Amino acid sequence: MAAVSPSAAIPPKRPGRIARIFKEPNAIWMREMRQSARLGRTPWILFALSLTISLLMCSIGGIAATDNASPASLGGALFQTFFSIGLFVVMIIGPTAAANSIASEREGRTWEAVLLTGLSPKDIARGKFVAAYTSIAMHIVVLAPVGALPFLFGGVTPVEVVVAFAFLFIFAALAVAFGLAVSSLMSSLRGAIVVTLILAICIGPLLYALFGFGTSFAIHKLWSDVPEGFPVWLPLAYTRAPFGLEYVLLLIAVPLLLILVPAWFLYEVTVANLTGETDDRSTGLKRWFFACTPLLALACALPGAVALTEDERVKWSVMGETTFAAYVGFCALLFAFDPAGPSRRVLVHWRRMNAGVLRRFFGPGLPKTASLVVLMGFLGLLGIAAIDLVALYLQPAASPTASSSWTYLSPYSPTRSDRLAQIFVFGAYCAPYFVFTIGLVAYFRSRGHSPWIARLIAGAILFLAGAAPWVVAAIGGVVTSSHDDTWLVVAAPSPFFAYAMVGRYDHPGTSDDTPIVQAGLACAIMWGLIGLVFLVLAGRKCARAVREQNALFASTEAALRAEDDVRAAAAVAPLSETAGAT
Amino acid sequence: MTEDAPLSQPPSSQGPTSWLDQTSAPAIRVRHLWHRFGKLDVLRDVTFEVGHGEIFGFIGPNGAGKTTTIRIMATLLEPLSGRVEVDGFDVSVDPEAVRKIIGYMPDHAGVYERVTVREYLEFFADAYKVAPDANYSVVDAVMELTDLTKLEAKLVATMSKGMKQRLQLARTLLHDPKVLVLDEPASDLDPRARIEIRDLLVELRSMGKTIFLSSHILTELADVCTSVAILERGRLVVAGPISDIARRLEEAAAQRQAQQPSPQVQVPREQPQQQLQGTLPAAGMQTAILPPQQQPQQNVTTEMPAAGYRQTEIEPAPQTISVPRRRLKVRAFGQLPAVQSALTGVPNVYAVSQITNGLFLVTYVGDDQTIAAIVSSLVAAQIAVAGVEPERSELERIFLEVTKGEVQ
Repeated sequence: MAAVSPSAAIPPKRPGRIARIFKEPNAIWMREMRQSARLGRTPWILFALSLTISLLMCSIGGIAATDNASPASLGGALFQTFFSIGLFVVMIIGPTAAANSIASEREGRTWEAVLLTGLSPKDIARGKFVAAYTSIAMHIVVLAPVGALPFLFGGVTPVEVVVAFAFLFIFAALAVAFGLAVSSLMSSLRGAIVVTLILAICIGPLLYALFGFGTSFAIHKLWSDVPEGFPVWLPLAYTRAPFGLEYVLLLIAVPLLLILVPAWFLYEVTVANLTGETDDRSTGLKRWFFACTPLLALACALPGAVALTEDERVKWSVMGETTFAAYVGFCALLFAFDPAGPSRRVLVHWRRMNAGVLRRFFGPGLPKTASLVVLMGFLGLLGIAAIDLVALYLQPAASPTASSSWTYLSPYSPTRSDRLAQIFVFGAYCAPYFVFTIGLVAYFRSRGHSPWIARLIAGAILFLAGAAPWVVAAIGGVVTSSHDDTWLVVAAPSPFFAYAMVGRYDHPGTSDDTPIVQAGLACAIMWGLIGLVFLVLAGRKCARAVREQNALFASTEAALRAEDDVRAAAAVAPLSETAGAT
Repeated sequence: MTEDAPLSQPPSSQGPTSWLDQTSAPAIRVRHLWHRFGKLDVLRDVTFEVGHGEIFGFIGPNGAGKTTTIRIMATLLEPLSGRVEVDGFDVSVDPEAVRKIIGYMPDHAGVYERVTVREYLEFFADAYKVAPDANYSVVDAVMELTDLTKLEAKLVATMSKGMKQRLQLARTLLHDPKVLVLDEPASDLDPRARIEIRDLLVELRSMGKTIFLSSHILTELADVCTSVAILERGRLVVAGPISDIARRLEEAAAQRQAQQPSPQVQVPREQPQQQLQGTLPAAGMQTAILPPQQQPQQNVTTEMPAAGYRQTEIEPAPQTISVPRRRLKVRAFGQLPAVQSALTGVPNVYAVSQITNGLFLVTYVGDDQTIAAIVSSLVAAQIAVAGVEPERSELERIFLEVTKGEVQ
């Protein structure tokens, strides 16, 4: 073995980053490709898939042709059908193919061997991603000839078809990244596949309905050349929409944001899951959170700031804040994985690389993470409200808006100050309640519960806080046969009460003097204070855990040092005796 | 942990942990190792060292903490406290350095099935970033060493379990590690494969590798190991060279018995098996060794219903201290009375029994010199000796003596 020792060889000059991609392809990718090449069933699956979709397209084309449709509309229908099917294929097959990869290593007990080769979690994640992506890309390529069928009829341009294929590849990448993230979390192959499939089947159609059908109506309003009700509208919009600010915003900036933010998130989740528990699993995800949260806050604030009417501005603002609150709430639960403090390994790593304050802040440590999430979330929620408030305040006074607001039967038309108050009170409830959410999660995590247990307990409490007040209010209203809003106040502790507060401004003084807004604000302050208390308690618990750990290390180190001293003395003694003898 | 917390030294060093380590660092040094899963302490103050070039056997019942120790050693787990160093590198703070110098083969590890042997090894060579120019030669050399060259084009899926294990071993050698950490390398293997793996380990040792292996198959460890450590319920019971441990145990037993006045007690009839196995007497239990002047001169024959063979007590030679009895299987051409007669008066020989025709069991006290004396006496009495073999290997005996069969 000594003859072949790699250390004995003269290391060759290392090629550049780009050259390395071709000269030293990812080892995991190469191995997975070799394995896939020996899988006999792959060609048959591809053949069956292309045959089925070809027949389906021909059937649909045949049915549509009998309806005296023009060739152009037939081509458009085939285009929509093919790419809708293509989307579902990548949304189902992509995650499943990826789910197979990491979980199978863990189940097959090959994982530790790979980990000990020195390949970094990032290398492994990239290798796995490229391998799974190659597989799903092969499916898309096999389907490409079928996708060219609309050309025979017209109705779509070649550029639109090419752009549609490009988006299919991008969605496939997202689908694979999603499958990998789930797979990296699971140790059982079957579990990974089942969970991924269930999530893909649930989320896929939802996204298709929301960003496909749903958005096509709004886009058609903006650009009438883009057909209404056609789910695959995005590739068409690129060629049919006039170039301008909206074009850049809606067809370049927003799609980029919607693709890059989840892609980066899924990548960081995968890497964190592949990283050892005592290594730094936090920095990547915290960087993602730090970079993306302001962008998302801005994206959530923009519709409310640019909507045409005051009424729409309030609606979009509330919707934006709701979306952002859901996002930061998810992040609060996500970051429950963080340990009380950085491990010894991480501390030594920091010390060696002279890590600065910022790098350490983004490293592992529950109190630091909770502070970051609270700060970003709180500021984000207030920021959205502030942007929308300022935009609404600065908007020139237009003709009174029609009352199509939260209470449709109300004859009252809210004034501008009502609209401002609506945006303000919603943000004023959401922000403190978010502090409570992150405080709750951090507290349970700091008590030594595992991340999933902490999430489960916090989730259950949040569910109770959200639902129970409404149940009590409903029962109270029914028992007392109350027809006013008196019992509604009981629901004030629920975060959904913020909507009731907003609605209050649509019909003030119509029924009674129940202090809905005051009660809501009081509860918001209460939640905020409780959240702060939880955060302080979590910080103390983490500090105590770290102190205990430090004391344990210190005592062990002292014992080891004492032993070393004894050994050193024993080693030196014979030398001095020898010296004395000579 | 606060960032000013005292850390495992060396402070920000990139190499072995102290001058002492650099000069005389053992291949593996485990010091005051503790680990906990939930509220269960799975390792409690485990301390031992493995010298360079040793084959070190790590023994213990299931659940003793062997795999946890090994996983910590392989950088897959960070200990609660204590320090583990491999070639002077702390596994907690220098995992990358440790991974470069160890080859780890986990217990029941899997292999990629749909690749050939060569592809499998090439993948790991790439992953280890073995210099590309030398890549093929390393793979070839490792295949040659592990006798896999003929199978290089064979699909891993079609290989036997023994061959897969051999392939795993080949995989661990690709980056030329100094230390091999093997968790149950011979588990589930047939005898031939076990022997082949054992021979391979011996060969690797001769190449200067330090081998740390855990196994339940004590006889195999006894054949190849230079030192052992025995773990029970997360505690290290004993560690060191097998012969040293055996000697220490005997000395300890002797001291215990020397401190107590040897009462004139007959061994209870219900515990013959315990005595015959040569186990250390449990605390408070006393072994009956009659002083020479008080022992009956005539042979005493007792029937052993369980064993089904006859045993004859013979007069032991005078001795000053009493130690646990051992048993030796002797294959000799002679009858029981002749053998008894030949061994009467041989120092430290207590009993002879016949298992089958030509196979005798001699109960004695002592070491290899006593065995030599037994053989010499038989030969002197014109009884041809075809072979001698301890009833239990030294390692098995040590294991049974120092463990209590407790699990956690």
